[in-house]
Amino acid sequence: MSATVIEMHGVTKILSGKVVISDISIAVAEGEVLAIIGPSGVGKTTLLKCINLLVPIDSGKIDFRGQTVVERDGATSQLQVKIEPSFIRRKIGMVFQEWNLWPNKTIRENVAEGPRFVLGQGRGEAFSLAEKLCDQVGLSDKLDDYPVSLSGGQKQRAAIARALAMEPEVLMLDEITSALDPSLVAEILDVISGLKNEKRTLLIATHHMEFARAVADRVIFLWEGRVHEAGPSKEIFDSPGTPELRNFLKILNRAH
Amino acid sequence: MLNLYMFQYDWDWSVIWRYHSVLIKGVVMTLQLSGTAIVIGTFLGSFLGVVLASKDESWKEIRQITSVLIDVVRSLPVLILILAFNYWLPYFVHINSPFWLACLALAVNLSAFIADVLRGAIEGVPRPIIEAGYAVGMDSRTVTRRILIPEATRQIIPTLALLYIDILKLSSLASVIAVRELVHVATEVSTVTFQFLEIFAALAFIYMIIVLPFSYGARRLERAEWFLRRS
Repeated sequence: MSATVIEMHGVTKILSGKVVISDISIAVAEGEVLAIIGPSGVGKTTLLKCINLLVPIDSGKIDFRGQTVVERDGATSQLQVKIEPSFIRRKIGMVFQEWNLWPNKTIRENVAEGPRFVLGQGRGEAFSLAEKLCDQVGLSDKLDDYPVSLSGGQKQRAAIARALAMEPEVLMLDEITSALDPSLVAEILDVISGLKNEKRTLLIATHHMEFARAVADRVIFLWEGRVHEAGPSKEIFDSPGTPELRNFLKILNRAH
Repeated sequence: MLNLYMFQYDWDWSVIWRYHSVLIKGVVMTLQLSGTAIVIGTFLGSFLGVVLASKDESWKEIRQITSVLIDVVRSLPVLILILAFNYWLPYFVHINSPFWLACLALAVNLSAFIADVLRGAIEGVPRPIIEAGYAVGMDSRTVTRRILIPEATRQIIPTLALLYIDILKLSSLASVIAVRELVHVATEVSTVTFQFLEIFAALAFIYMIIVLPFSYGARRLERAEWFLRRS
C-alpha cells in the first residue's frame, strides 16, 4: 500500500447559500490516478480548489502527507490554514479548464514564470527547463509564440507544462478537455497518458468518460455534492452500483 | 490684400522665416514642458492607480483621500489648475519658475486621469489569470508585480497615448503664466510684427506636425498584434 498524499476529511463548502460539496472524504494515494466524475455544477472544480486553498472550506480538514493543511469546525468558526498556501500550491499543481495562460507572456515565459519567480531559478535555467517541458508536451516550435496564436489543445498542453515546471507532487487537472474541440482531445490524452506512465499522482476532475476510463485507476462519482459511489475504474464503468451513476453514464454515452 | 470687415491686412509670410529661431525655441519648450509633465504625471499616476486598486485594509484612509483629490483635480479645468498652481504653490514650496509650476499642474492633471484608468485596468484583469498565478505558488506581491501590473499596463497603453497627446496640446495653456512655449512666443512675435494671421496659421500647422505622428503611432500601436493578444 503506497502512502497517502492528500486526504480530505468531511469537507463542506457553501457558496452563496448553496451547499456545493458536502461532507466529502477522499484519499489520494501516491502514484495513483484518481478521477472525480459527475454532472456539471456538482462541485468538482470547487473540490479541487479547496485542496490548493484557492477556495476556503467551510468545514472539515485537509491533510497533505499526514500534515494538516487547513481545518475548520464549521462556518461559524475560524478557518485555520496550517501550512503556507504558496507551499501547498507548489506541491499540488493545477491545470484549469480554460488554461488561463498569461496573455502577454510567450509560451516559454509562461512555463518559466513559476520556476523563476517562485522557486528563484535564474532566467537561463528556467528557460531551458521550459524548453524541455514544451518538448515533452510537443510544443517545441511554439516557445516564442503568444497564447493567442495557439489552438485550444496547444494552450492546454502549455498549461500542463506550466504546472509541471513547478515539479509538483500531485497534479490536479480540472476539466482540461471540456473547453476543447473533440478533435483536439486526443493530443491532451496522449500527454496525460505519458504522465501516468511516469507514475505521477494525478487528481482529475472530468465529465469526459473515455478520458477517465483510459487513465484513471480509481473513480469517484459525485452526486449532489457528495461521494455517491467510489471504486476501481473498471468496476465503476462496467458495473455501476447506483441508479444515479447508471443514468449518468447512460446519458453521456448517448451524447457521444 | 485681404479685405476683412474692419481693416486691411497686408500679407507677409516671410515673417515666419524671420522669426523661425524664436519659434523653434517655442517648439523645444513645448516638447520639454509636455515631456517632463508626462514623465512626472505617469510616475505619480501609476503610483496612485496602484494605491486605488489595492485591497489592503490598512490603506483604506489613504485610498479615500486619494480618491477625493483625484475627483477634485478632474473636475477643474486645466487652465484653472495652472493658474492655481501659479498663484498658490509659491506660498507653500520654493518653486518660482513658471516652467515648473506649469509642469506640475499638467503632471497632476495627467496623474489623476492615469490613476483612474489604471485602477480600472487592474480591477479588470480577469480573475482566472490571477488565480493561475496563485496556483503556481506565487504570493500576492509576486502576482501583483508579475501578472496584475504587466497585464493592466498592456490594457491602458492606447488610452495612455491619447492622454499624452492631450497633455501636449494642453501645454499651450502654460502661455498664460509666461512659459515661453509655442503659443507664448507666437503671441510675442505677432504683437511685434502685427502679422497675426501668418503666425497663428504657422502655429496651427506646427501643432499638427507634432501631434499627428503621435496619433498615427498610437493608432498603429492599438492595432498591433501585441494588443490583440488574448488567451
